[in-house]
Amino acid sequence: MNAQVKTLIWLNRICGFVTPRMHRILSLCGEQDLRKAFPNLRREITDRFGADTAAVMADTYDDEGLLNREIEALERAKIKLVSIYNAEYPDLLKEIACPPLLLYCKGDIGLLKTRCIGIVGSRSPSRYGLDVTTTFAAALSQCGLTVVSGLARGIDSQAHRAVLDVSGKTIAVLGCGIDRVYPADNSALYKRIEDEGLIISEYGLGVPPNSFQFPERNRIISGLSEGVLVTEAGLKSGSLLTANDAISQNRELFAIPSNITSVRGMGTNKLIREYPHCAVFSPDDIAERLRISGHTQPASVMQLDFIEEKLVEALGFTELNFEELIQISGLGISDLNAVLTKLELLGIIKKLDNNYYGV
Amino acid sequence: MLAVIKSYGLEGIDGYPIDIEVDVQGGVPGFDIVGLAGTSVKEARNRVRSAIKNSSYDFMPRKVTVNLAPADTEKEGSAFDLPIAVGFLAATEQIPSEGLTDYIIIGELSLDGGIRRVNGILPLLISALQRGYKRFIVPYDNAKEASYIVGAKVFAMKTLCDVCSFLSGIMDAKPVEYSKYESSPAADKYGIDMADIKGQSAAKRALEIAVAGGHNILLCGPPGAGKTMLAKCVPTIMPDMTFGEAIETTKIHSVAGRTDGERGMITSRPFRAPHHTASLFSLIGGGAHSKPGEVSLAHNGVLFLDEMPEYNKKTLETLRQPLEDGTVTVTRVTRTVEYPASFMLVASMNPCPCGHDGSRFKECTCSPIAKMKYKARISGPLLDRIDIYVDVDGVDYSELRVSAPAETSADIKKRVEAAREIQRERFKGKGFYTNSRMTNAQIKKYCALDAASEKLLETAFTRFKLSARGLTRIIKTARTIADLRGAIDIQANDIAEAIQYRVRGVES
Repeated sequence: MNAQVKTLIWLNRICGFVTPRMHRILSLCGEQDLRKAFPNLRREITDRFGADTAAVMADTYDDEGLLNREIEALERAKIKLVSIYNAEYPDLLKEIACPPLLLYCKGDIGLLKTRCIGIVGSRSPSRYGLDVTTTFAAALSQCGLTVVSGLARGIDSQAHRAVLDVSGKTIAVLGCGIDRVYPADNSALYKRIEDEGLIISEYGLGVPPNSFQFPERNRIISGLSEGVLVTEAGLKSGSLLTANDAISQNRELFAIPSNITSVRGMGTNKLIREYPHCAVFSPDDIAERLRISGHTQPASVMQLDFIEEKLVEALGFTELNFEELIQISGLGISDLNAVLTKLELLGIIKKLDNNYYGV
Repeated sequence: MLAVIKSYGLEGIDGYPIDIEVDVQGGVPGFDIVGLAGTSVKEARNRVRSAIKNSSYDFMPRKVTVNLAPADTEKEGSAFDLPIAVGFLAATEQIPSEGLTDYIIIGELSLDGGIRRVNGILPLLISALQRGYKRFIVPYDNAKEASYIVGAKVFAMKTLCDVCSFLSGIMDAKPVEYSKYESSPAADKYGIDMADIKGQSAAKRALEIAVAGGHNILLCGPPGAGKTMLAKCVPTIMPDMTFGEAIETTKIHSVAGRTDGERGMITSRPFRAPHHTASLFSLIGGGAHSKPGEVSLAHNGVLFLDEMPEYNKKTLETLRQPLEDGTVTVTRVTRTVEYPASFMLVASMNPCPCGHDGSRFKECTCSPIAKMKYKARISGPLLDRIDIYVDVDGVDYSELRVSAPAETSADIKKRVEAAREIQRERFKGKGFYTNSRMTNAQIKKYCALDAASEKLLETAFTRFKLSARGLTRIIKTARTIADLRGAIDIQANDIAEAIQYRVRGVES
């Protein structure tokens, strides 16, 4: 491990400094290694950052044992480190204001160098929100993009899942320590992403999910990505912060329109009013804006018989319940059930709650 | 003088003979009952004393010792009053003591010398008969219950005087006439009919399949959709109870003291709906005397758990053994008892705590965590024992006004009985008679699938991310659907329909 990374671990893990402070302290020493230069810089650090900061650093800067223990802990947890000085560090992320200096990673760090799109949204989405997230995430993933999201409940998890389901690539950016699963019920998903994708965090082992860390995490999601898609967000959703980050980082912003009566889609609709060009209606819109070709739309040429066509057509207009479907199809209950299973298996229709069906 | 009277005690739903020895000697007057007698047995001395005096017999101040043998099993209940009184009268030579042991004597005494009904007559008679006892003296109020036992000579008595006159040969009595078992007519049995339920075709069909194959079923739907009403209709489409089933069920109800004197026998399938605050012991059975719980009272009938996730989780988990084995073993300090508990589980739940998740009329107000916690309250192993899951429609006004005639329970029952007949034939001599109880080996044997069905199952397995157990449930359900058609082979359509009844949403 090179000296620069060790210095970063020292600052972050042992001194407990956050990224902005690390940036400012490192700017003092220029090309030299901070730990070597520290005795000379101590006075200046005391002047600019206060005696406490300097004292913490002075206590530990030459303590190799402490540092090695920290490094061993990271190795034991199979955590890979990508610092801003490494070749693996994504160029796009370097462009943002205050880029993370050290990324704690689990999984395939090769993904950092791929073209990424962020997909974020509400933690309590509507069915519509989940549906469009699935469609867009799967389609964009099949265009060859890596989908970046935040492993939160709702839209974020759905985006990760949809990508993994089509064997695509996905990166989860955590707002807590790399070894913490938050929310805990996503532990299965965490494992899947660790195995098939990449999990990164700016925070080292054991850092709890403090609320202020999530906006900081959002800047990394947008920073890694060429564009950010907000699929559904309420007025107070944190994903609107990510959208703001995307604008300030000069990334493309995409938002999917919601029903104007939907409380859960107010935030995305507001985004569209503020930035009218961000509205997208299909994954193709995004592919076009990001100049990506080869969108592989799943071929849906299937032979349906007369009654099946009739059902699909009727469901195309509105969601219908089982009784209505009996009327429309003229089938008996058991035959209708069989037909519905077939259509469901083909992925043409979906069963909703309360015995309703929809496309 | 010493007199010995034969009586019978209960151990679970089986009886065992008890010899009641009454010894009357001179000495300091007293009345002792020994042989692990419980409080209600010990109190017999007061009832016996008053009953004897009020029946114009002499209760002499002597030293009386009553022993209930075998002396090492705990005895409870008031059924020994009558034999103790008879024993005392015989020991004091107020009635002749010859031939007393030809009778099994059971009954509770009232202070005026009358005989009151006791619990558990039916199981007592059955096991006594098996041991070769033929003549019984029982309370008059238990006569109807006892009248179903062929081969027993049952004398039903109203007072202690009658018993004494009968035993002394002064009075002649006729044994109770046998009653012929007939299942009570459906109309007045349940007071509800499938035809009363509007719409809900999918749920009705699912119930029909569930009953036909003995599958447990989970109904999911918003409040007010009619889940409870649907569940109450389940017994109306179940096949009539056979005599054997009626006896089994009555035995349990008799032990629990729930038979009524007029009918004597439980002739309609029990429908038990314990409230969701029900304790573990009330559900499974237990208490100081290991009484049968709701699962046993629902034997051969329906156990309905309304709002299943509201039940205490531990309580729900205890259902796993009875669901698997059809019996429940209740172990308490004093005894271990095995009760039959072969019931059909009908459970209902809302889609979320507020009940409006996915509704188009009302906004759901539950947080995602609340929803998850709600669903997680029904554990995977328990869900594995539920073959059919069906959504119940939220009903809107126009549907409530529909006047189109719906199928009656009687029509559906005919189809169910036909399907049951096929299964009975199939599982002859296997110890069970419904598809739901098939083992994996039996599924292989009886549920051969053609290529199209295999393909369908395989697609469904990957597409819907089914578990291995989920697959088994679908095949079992498909077997029942085919039976309902009267078909020998399972076809792809049966599988397709069964897939619609898979557990969704609850299982992740």
